[in-house]
Amino acid sequence: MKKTLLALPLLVLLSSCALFGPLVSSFDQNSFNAAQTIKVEASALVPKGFEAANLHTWEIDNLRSKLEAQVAYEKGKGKPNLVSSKQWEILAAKDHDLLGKFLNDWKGEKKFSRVYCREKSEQIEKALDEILNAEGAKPK
Amino acid sequence: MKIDFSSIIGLVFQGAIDAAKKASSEWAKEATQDAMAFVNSSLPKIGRYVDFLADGEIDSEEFKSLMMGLKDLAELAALTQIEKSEIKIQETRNAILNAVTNVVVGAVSKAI
Repeated sequence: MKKTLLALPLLVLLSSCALFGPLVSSFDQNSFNAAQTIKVEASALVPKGFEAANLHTWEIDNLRSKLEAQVAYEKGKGKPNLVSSKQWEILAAKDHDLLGKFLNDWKGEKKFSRVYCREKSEQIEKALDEILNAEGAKPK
Repeated sequence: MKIDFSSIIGLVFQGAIDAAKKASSEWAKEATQDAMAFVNSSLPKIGRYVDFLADGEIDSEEFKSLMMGLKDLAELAALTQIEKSEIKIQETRNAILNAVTNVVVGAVSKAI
């Protein structure tokens, strides 16, 4: 009888843990560093978007690869990382209006004004700040 | 040995209610402040984009892209809020779990 009663709290604890997995993934230093790197590189590249794309082919391709790799990495973390994964998707998507679309349009020889590039760069920095904010809020 | 289960259940429910109330009031305040900050920071930007369009510094397609960019930023901010609320739920759940464990362990220890 005593053993059964002593096992009760343990059972409650174990069943609760088993029933409810984590809602949010833990803080990931790799994700945080990647967001910081992409922010720095995008801040240097996007304001030059009024120049011909062929002058920056390597930087555009390099940044697109990093962005796509990060989206895949975030998706790979599964359901608890759904919010961060969605944020990276929006940043990289061609049907949204942030970094992915900008790089795609630029590579596609679209011409941009200097003012537009400056403003878009500010938006992209803000988007990456939001991603950093969400990652930084996760449990350590 | 006698364990008062009705008292245990009462304590557990009270602990759960207190933890949930605390978490929801803190989160609601924080979410409202963040939403207001986003709106306040977006309004001057929209005014700036309108001026650029009127002055011919950007074309209508670029103007539309900047407005859509703002919409995307709002979506990212909303997602951050969802994540923060999930973190609060997770913290509340852990607090409830701790309360349940403490109450049950306390009751069993007394009974033994």
